Amino acid sequence: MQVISTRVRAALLATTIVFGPTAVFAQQAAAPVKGGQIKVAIFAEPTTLMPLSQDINVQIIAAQLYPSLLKFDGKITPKPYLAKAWRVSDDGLTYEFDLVETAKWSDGKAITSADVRFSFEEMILKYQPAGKSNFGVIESIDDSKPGTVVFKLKRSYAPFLSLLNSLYAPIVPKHVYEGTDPMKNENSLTAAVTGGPFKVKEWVKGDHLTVVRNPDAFDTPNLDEMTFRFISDASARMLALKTGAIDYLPPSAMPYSSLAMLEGDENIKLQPIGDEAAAKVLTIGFNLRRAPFDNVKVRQAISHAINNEFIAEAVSFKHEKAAVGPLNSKSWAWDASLKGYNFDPELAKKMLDEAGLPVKADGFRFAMTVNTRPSVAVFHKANEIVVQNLRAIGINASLRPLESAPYTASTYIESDFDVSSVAWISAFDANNLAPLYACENIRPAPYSNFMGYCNKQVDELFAKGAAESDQAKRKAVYVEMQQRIIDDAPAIWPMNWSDWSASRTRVQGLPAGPWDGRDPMDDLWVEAK
Amino acid sequence: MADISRVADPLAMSKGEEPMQTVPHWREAWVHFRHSRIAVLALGVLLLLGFAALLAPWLAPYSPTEVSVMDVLQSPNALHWWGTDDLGRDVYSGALYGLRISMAVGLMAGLVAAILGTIIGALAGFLGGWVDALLMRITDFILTIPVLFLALVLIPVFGSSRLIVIFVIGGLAWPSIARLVRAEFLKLRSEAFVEAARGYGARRFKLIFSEILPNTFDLVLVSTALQVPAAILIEAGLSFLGVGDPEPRSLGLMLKDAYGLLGLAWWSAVFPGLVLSALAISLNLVADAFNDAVRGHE
Amino acid sequence: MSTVPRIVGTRLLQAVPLLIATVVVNFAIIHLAPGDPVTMMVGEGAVSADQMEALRESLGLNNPLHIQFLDYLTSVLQGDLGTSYVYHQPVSEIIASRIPATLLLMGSTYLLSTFLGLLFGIVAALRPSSLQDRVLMTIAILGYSVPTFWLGFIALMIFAVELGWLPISGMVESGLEPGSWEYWKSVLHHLVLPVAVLSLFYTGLIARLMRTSMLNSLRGDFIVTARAMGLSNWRIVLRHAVPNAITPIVTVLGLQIGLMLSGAVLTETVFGWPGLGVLTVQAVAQRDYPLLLGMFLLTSVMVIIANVLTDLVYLAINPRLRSNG
Repeated sequence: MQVISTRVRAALLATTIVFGPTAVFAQQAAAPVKGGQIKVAIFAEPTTLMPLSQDINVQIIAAQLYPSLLKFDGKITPKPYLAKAWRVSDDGLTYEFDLVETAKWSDGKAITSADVRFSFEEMILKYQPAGKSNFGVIESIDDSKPGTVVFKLKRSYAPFLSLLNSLYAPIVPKHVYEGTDPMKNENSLTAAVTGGPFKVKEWVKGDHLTVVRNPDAFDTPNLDEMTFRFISDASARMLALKTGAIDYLPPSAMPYSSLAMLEGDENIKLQPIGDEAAAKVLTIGFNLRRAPFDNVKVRQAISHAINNEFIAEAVSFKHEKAAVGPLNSKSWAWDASLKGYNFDPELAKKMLDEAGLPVKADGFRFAMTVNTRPSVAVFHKANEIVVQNLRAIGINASLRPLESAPYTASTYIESDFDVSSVAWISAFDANNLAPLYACENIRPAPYSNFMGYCNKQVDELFAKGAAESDQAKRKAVYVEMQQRIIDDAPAIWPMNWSDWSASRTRVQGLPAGPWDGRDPMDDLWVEAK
Repeated sequence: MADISRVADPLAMSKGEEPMQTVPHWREAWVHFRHSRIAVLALGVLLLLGFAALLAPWLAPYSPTEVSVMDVLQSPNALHWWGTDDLGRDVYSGALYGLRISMAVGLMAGLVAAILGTIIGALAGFLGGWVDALLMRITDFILTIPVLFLALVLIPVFGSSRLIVIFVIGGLAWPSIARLVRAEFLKLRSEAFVEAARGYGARRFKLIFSEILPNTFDLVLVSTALQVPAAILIEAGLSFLGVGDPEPRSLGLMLKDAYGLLGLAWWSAVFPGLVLSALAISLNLVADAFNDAVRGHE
Repeated sequence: MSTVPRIVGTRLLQAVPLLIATVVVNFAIIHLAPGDPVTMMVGEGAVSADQMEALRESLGLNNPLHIQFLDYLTSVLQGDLGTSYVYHQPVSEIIASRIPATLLLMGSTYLLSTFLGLLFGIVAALRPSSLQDRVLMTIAILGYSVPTFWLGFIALMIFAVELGWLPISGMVESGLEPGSWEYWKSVLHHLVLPVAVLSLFYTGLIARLMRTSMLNSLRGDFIVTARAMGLSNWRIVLRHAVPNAITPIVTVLGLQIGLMLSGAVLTETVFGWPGLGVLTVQAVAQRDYPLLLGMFLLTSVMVIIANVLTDLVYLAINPRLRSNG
């Protein structure tokens, strides 16, 4: 016991001395070191190793195991990956990618354009939930030359390149998956045949999964080995990072409370993720099918009753500001001129009185429930404050705790709720608000317009914005659209929500893309101890 | 932690018949109880906690759920004796109200167990024969069920209402009570005054209610007292695992929330945990001493 | 002796309807659960109603409940517990992969707390109402009154975070060759805190039981006679009083095996121990019905086996029962 304790302390001391804040600066310019290993904490065991899974912990690991055509930095600039070069035709309809000639699957077969075509046509478009909306624009894929894959698009589609990342478009081996159910395919559990920078070394159920450098890969990572430890408790993860048992916490493993606790620790580097593209807004939507939430006056009154500043501050431990409207203020389409709802409980009470909802004999105007997911800290804490704010204006509000499956069912499928919260990412484009606010997306399916909000004018503005190519004009359209949505108050937007990762300072070259750490970590390296 | 109810009384668990001492009068029991200084101290703590829970609305300086912008994550100070949590809620006020819930859950689960245990024990002891054999077999089996484990699966199925928590815990805590009641019935059934009553043609259930049951009251009480702290800890454990009822906030739930904050706000985990521990410890000590005193064990 | 096989047989026979009843109850309970597993499986991605229907069909969720039950019963009898909705792997394999961790945690705790509990119980009972008795028994009550999850976390903060003596979470340092000396050293290192915290609880329980039983035993006619015969005090205690006192609590110790699952759930959660407890908590949150059914069945089997074994051990050490059945 004593021996170990001394060793741990010595290690901690060494880290402090060598990699103190000033030392980091000096070392950052240094060339990446080959070799070494890191330990990453993820919040749950991956449910499979199928890269098309919707499990974020699977996606983090799968990005290391399977290639994609391109990879990206924090500004979503495309970089060569499986595709060493690419050409886009002037009309924006043809994309040609030259694959790395030496690229091989781990069973020795070459990675060819046939694998790419198969991955898009038979896997991504069929099994990736976002596949159709991301890649429905593809007209055809030509794999006649093994080393070159050619995409023909139905229309010019600016975000196309940015979608060819390992999260949305992983490339899987055709000869393994052809004609099988991908979820039941043996390879989805073992990832025996892979082609990415790493391959699986061991998977100790319930504890950790280790990947090692794939010697046959087209892309050689800096690290020898990465271990993903499954630690479900946020505090335990944070403490593990603090003590050096873990080197990196991807954003999905980093709640705001951990951020607050790690601040000021000179051995820890905190890094916001993906900036604009990953910026979310905490969206607490009303069920517009239900009285009294079908009445816009009631929704506006409630919007005045919610203390957004407080929610943003308390939930994020002062790292976020209150949002104004459905878009994160980091978005290019957001504008400071947008007018939201100030916190004014007295006004809210007056508006509810006028809406015919006076305080009754029992001391309340009406009763309502707030759907909440206790396991998602941001939702739950925000909802606890919302309930208090509602009770303060005489609404008998109570929390309705639901776990993942029943939560999704009640919110999206059965529409059985009064208010329910979602985290909405408007990545890349304001047009990504359409699934949540456009009339046509009112349907019983996950990630749809669960509120039942429909305003034809807003729909028209969505269409107008999508067709406009001049950025300044687009912004004007979207600002108008946002203001209309705000005025209709189908939801309350208490907080801008962004993600952070945390790492020991000796870890360099962390993924900075907008996909919450679900990028290849081939450029990652560690300073020698 | 969940299953101390199972074994707090070894004699209730062993398969032989319980050696039954005559039940002393309450005053004698109290004299006996007073002998143990630690038990008297525990009784004092328990009464204090009981009063605190009862008078929570008057004792608590703040509302237990009221969030406050200005007071987020304050360490203990003159205004917030036990500090505040990440939403600015007063930990001291929260613990007082949480104490109320813990006590209510414990007592109600105890009540459910006492009623079930008395009915089942009485039926088995009075009717005897195959009814007795069957009921005792079921009793034995239920004694071996891991309550927290079962509740963990049952409660999300039936919804995380606190009433269901009470019924699940109480519904599995009756066996040791049933065993005691049954043994008492077996003994009293043969005693003279019952024989006499039977001689006058008294009806069977009247016999149960008017003659035998009152005599088992003391035993049911002490045996139930041993179940209460266990029930409280199970409820806290369930809340901690996230399957409890979030409203009103219980001590277990405060601890669950506090775990996410331990590096930021130790006070939010330490104080509610101390209150919960103090409650369980004093209840166990008192129930134990009480049990010794009434049943005449050393 | 001839009655022993008969008793064993009866006990085993009684276990069969119990097992079947458990399967029925488990199935019924879990199918009352709210939350549609298909919705859970597709996660938060956009999936068409057709795709969901196809998934539902492929899982047999559209069949009438009694067909689903018959299917389930048939597979269970064949040792097939179905496929987890979440992990897409056979339930039996998932459960089997977690058993060693829980067994290690529970086994170590069981041995340690039985040894210490018996020891403390005996020491306390030797001089009732003395200082040592009162101190030991108060500590015992403290042990099983303090919530283990809370104590666990406080212990983590002190020994793992502040002092850095012990690891924070998990069962073994990664990258070590399984079975190597370093590997087991690391496991032992990770085992210290969870076993210490959980043992405090069970040691307290067992010490109290042993003390009561020991007191009864010391009061027995047999001991009084032995004393009168002038046998030495230690001889009486070790040869006669202790064995007599252990007999009645063997039942309790045996039954603890099943009950320890409850303690394991909380302890595993706090210490990130990769066992059945953590698996169950996750399965509950994810409404992984097949996995939950499997865990239920395993628990029931464990409880029933513990019952039967306890009866047998009780028979073995209690010659009185053996002779008259």
